[in-house]
Amino acid sequence: MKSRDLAALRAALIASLRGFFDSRGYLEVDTPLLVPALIPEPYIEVFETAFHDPAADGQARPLYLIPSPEVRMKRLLAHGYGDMYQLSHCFRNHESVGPQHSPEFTMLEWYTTEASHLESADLVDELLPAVAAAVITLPGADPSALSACRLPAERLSVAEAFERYAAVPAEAFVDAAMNGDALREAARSAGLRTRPDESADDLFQRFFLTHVEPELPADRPVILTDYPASVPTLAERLPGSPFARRWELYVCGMELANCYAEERDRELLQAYLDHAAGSKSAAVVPHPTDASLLEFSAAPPCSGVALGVDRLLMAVSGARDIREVIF
Amino acid sequence: MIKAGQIAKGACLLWKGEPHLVAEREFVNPGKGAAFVRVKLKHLRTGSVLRETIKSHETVEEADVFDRDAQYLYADDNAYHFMDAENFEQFTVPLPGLEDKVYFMKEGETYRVVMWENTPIDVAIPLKIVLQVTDAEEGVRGDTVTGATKPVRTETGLDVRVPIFIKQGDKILVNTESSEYVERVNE
Repeated sequence: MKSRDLAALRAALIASLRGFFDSRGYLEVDTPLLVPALIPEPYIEVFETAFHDPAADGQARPLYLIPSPEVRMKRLLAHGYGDMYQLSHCFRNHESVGPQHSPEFTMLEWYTTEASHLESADLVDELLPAVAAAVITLPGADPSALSACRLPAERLSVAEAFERYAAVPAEAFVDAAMNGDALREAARSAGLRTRPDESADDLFQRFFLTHVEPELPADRPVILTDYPASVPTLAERLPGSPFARRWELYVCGMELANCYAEERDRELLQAYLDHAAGSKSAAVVPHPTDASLLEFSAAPPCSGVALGVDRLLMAVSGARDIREVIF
Repeated sequence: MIKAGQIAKGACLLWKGEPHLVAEREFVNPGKGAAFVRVKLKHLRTGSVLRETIKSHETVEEADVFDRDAQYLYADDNAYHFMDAENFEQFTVPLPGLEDKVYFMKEGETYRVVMWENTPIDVAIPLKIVLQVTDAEEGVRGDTVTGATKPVRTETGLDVRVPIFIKQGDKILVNTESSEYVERVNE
């Protein structure tokens, strides 16, 4: 396929995303890419740069490129701006460049107020067919990938996915999500080598990446729900269960989006910041914490989704490498 | 030792004490948990394939693997016998697991022998090789249907289905992975 056709497809895709959210009353925002402090994320490394401020005698002050637009959008939500979306360039350091990873990429992030994470999943079932319909006539589009996008996403819980693809009984997984020993036992019986010093979160992730993710269907979107709450995130916990109100979307076998019912409890937000900032002490690029996240306790209940636009473009064009769709 | 994040496709790793080729490698970082490298490892000797997911900070051991060019002399019940192309030293590659390679090796030809810790463990066979047809029946007259084939035997004992125009003494190109005929070679 000609690169220019792909660039045109990219433009049409982005226009269709804007049209989708504009017509539903979401406010488009455009928050800064360069910020002095960030929400710490234990597993994401960032880019640091320096601002030489003449007012401070040219002294250098560190600024950071955002790994996601979350921090500033949550501030606007706390101030009552309502439903909003943003198409933003994002930057992640210390990740191998490969078919699905680029240090700079484009993210669509949207927040729906008074909506659960499952209502956000309903919106995905409208969004993907709308995007597919908008680009289907273009020369860069891949008809078979588009037909996959037109089906409603199959929803299954992480426990159901483990049962279906790794033969781990769902009940065992409920235990496992609370109990590392049960997870270790299930992993061993699935033939996965285990290590006594491995944390339950790492084992869960490795088990998932080895035996479940590669088996997910590629002929239709899949939404995996109910992740173990032991993995620290800003998603609400599902009351009375070991799971979080969180899902991930897979399209054409690629992880394309994730969603949280956003945690607003001030104490839990503080606990997250303490924990995450602590585990960032070993980061390659440390950064100050943006404590304005605590203001988010004033925001209305909402659900937020982050979707990789470059990967969506790969899905609708059939491109195999993210470097083909970034110009 | 190298970090798993540095594993490259085509590298050789010592995995569970055995030499493996990295056939595929993919970096995975969902952002909500540690970063991993997902690899497909092919055992250098048996060819058996393993899928492993390794934390990108973990260290893995590289296998000391290199190739040497050597002339194939003959095979006996236990081993293939070779002579090093540079120093003329004779050595053997054990047969078990490599029995089928006999159909793709011609005595007197030079091959790349895979060495692990100075021990020969495998013979690298090119994807396509030329073999002479030593045993072929005449094509049945009038049988000119496109795609019609017949079995022939080659100089190494390999049986291949070929188009009926191939005659005894012809040279043919054969795919060594599928054992299938590719084309007739004119010399």
